[in-house]
Amino acid sequence: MKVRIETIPPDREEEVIVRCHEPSAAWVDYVQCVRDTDPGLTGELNGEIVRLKLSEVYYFEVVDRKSFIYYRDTVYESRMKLYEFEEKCRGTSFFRASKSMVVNADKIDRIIPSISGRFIAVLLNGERVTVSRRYVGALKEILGL
Amino acid sequence: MVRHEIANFLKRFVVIYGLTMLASYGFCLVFNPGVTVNVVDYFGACILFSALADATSLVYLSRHELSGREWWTRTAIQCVLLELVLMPAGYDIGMWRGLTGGIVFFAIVLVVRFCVELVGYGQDYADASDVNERLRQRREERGGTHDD
Repeated sequence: MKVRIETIPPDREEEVIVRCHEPSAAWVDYVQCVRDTDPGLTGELNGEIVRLKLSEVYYFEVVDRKSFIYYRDTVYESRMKLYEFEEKCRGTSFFRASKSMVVNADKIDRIIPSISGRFIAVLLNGERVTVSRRYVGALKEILGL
Repeated sequence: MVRHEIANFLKRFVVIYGLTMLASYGFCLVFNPGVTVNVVDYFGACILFSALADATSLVYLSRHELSGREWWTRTAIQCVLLELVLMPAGYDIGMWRGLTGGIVFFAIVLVVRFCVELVGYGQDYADASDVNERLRQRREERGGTHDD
């Protein structure tokens, strides 16, 4: 059996193509396994439940006991608690940024130190979020520093 | 979390005590106070007062993340507490006498407080530089800014 991995530019969607003589249950399981490595999320927008991709989440925040998932341009309400979201994205590029926020390190453009013992993280969509000094270590660990 | 707070307390204590020693040296060098104190007693007093000064940082403890305004408010409260703790302490060990000495000592406390903040900011600046450089490298490895 040949195995081929092809590197594609970032603007193309990643995909897995299986060429087989017959789509057996084993192949279906393999594909399902690959698809499930991106732990899915759900969020609510205008009364509708939407399936979300963890890799496209910018950050998760709890405000006034309500949880929100932030995409690039859209905000979804979530029923998850902060610790549940943290548990779900353990081992990924997400890190606890403050007492009420978990941020995706892959969506950070740069961080700026502030005199108040905090950092301002400028995200790729231009949004600015606060990263507490005590949690910068987690970000450094994700970045391999 | 408690261990983290204790570690932070100890880190700040080292910085405060170090700066207090430097400030004491500078103060004596400039004003040449005529008070003679037992060196060990003085060091012990500085350790105690540095710990008390560090304890004033407890005003920052909060269940939620402090906003900018809240941080500045609590910083102002902490400065007041610092003066309330250190002014009598300084007088007690002979660090200041009279109005002029009191004003100078008052100012030195605030300067040391500011220096502690500056040391923290310096470390933050270094951390930010390292993080930003690594973020830049990751972007280059992935071929430019990767956004959806």
